[in-house]
Amino acid sequence: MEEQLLGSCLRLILVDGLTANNVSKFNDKLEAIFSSDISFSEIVLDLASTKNIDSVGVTFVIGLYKKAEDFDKKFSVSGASEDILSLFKLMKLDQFFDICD
Amino acid sequence: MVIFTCELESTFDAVDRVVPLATAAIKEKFIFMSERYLFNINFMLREILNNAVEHGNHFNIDKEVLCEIEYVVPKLYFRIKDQGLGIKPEDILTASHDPKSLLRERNRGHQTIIDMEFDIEIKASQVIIILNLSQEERLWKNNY
Repeated sequence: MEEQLLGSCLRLILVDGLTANNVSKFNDKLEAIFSSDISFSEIVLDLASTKNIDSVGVTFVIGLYKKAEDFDKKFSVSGASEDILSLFKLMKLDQFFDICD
Repeated sequence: MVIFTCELESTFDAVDRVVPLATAAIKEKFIFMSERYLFNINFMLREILNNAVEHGNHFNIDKEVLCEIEYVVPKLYFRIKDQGLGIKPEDILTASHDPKSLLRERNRGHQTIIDMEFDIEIKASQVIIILNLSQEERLWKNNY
């Protein structure tokens, strides 16, 4: 997972699959970000390179959304494929956060 | 007709290696299959195999998971067997439309698989997922 800080927007770019074998290292990265002194008011999870996803990966997205809420940050997902978008809608996650192109 | 079979070790990395091989085998055999169906199969296989590795075999390196995919017209059968004690269907299925549980962090996968129109049969430590391909094949024939 790569991070880019653009103004007050922290963009998290996934380069590996959003799958169970990768989620623990994503969580480690998040822990480091939220305990650092990086200043941001918005988090965007960039899924443009993500092809594979499983329910552990979905749980990671939900956890990130909840963490953003806890820290009073805006959260959205961008670049998701049509299939991932359809999955999030099937799970009704689009009721909770924005999913942008 | 068996499309794919393998035994994998009890790790998430093994699941990540095997699922693309399984979906590639299906894609090669069924040219009519849409990318959406393949995506759903990819998601479903990861879910069932991850559960077998984690909750069935408890990541025990001495235990393996068996994965077999068979086509019996017009259905695909995915049989996943671990070496654990087995589960009951009521242990994993929850009401999908309960608003309070939309953000739950457990038991999402099986309900999503059902919502994707897979059928699930659980027999102790074996899970059988069934996908009827007749509609997908009919759509493809109508379009070409």
